[in-house]
Amino acid sequence: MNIRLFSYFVTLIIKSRMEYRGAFLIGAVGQITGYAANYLVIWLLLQNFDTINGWSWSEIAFLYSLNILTYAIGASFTYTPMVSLDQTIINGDFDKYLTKPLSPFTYYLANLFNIGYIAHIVISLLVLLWSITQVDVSWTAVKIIYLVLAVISGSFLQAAGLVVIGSLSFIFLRVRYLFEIFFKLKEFIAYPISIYGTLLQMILTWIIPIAMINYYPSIYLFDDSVLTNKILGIVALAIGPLAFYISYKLWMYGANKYQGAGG
Amino acid sequence: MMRAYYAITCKAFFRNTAYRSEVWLRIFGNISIVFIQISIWKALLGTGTLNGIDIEAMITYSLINASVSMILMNKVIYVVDDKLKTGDIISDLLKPISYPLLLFYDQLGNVVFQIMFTVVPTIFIAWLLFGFSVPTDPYTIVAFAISLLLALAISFLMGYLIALVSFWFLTTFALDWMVTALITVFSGSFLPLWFFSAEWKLVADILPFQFLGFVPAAIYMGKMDASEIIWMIMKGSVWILLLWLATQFLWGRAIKRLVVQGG
Repeated sequence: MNIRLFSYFVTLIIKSRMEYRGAFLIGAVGQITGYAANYLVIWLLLQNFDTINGWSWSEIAFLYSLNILTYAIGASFTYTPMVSLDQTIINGDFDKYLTKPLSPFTYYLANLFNIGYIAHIVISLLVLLWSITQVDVSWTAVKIIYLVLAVISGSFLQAAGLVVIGSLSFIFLRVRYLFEIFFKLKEFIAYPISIYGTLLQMILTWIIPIAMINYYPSIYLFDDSVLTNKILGIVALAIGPLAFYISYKLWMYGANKYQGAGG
Repeated sequence: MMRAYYAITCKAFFRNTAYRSEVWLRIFGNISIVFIQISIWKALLGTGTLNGIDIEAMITYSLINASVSMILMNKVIYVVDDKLKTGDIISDLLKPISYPLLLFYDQLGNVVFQIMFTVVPTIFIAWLLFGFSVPTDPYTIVAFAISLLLALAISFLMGYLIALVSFWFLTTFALDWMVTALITVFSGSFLPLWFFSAEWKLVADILPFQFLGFVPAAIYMGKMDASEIIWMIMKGSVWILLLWLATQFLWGRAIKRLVVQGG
């Protein structure tokens, strides 16, 4: 499936959602309020303590926004399709995605693209842009390009997590609670992972590499004079697309094995 | 009459037993949240204190708040919402018992289940991992128990009130996000009100959300003297009365509207 067809699907979805503009806007306001509260709590906390492990309010805001922004981008494409995959299989509706002359993966994603994450994107992008002006970083062209790539890579990594869990639907059928575990795990990267013990830091870096979403890009941008920051910063750019490719293969493997739920 | 309510609570309790896998998930989620919060407070406080609060105190505070949040009833909003959308609300209204009490005892069944299968295991595991202090003074224990009842009643009435508001606006989801945002900040469940600046503390004092986290924890930890506790219990009772009057007022109008809509 090419990009033009994909974006045509997305346009159709946006148009149909905009039929109910009022409900959509109220929903967006609700979500923005929700995230604003999370920012506010951290801000209030840092009124007392100035820094968490040497991270100031603007640096934490940068770290936090990077996580929400990349999640929102990744989840726009993958959350709804992956979370509803088990039910789609159980209902026997998955077959229609296999009988079109298109890749079932991209066709399925395009069909269930979710525009609802726009509120997440608005608030996290606003705070991110604000924090960029506040943090103690001399922004060069290289660093700006790095940040853009880090957002792309992070979005792929977030999407990969959702696709991996979704592809387990082909085997176990009911996987909804695994998504909850994924979200609980992501709570760990809301703050700099340096506050945890070494073992947990290693797990979050190499085994479930979610620290690559926001922590390593942040420390690379804040201080590239340290060699390990540089190396891990570069690794963070590669790991997102790589993880997404692996998750895609896993998903396609599952789809090929798919026999229907006895329907 | 009591027998009917008892039956409703039992039914709700056993309905929960169908979702056993979620129990592990909740315990894992709770321990993660407490662990993350303790890590942050360790990074912030180290071996020192701020306003007389040390890391030991914050461990107890985090654990009490994680436990209290498991027994709040504000998610009753989704029960009403679901019944409105499916039309099942009609069969509840035909029953010869008060609708809010029916909802309350139904929620109580969930709470009893949560206490037995989530709160107790969470506290046990947290006690093994982090240790925490237990009050010995009988007055403190009684006051804590009363504060829990206030938390139950206030969270229930708040959820029910929002549910009634959504009779008109049909935007349950957005309203819930907004209330959750207010709870996040003003319940003090993450950042205790001790650390709020004067003007934010004033706002938190005016609002009822502090009863859903901060007040029970502060009483449990013996951080409130007798006169403060009595004042808080009076204030909480006034809030219950106000919220109850508001729900009674809206209920009368909502019922009329329901009839007009034709069910």
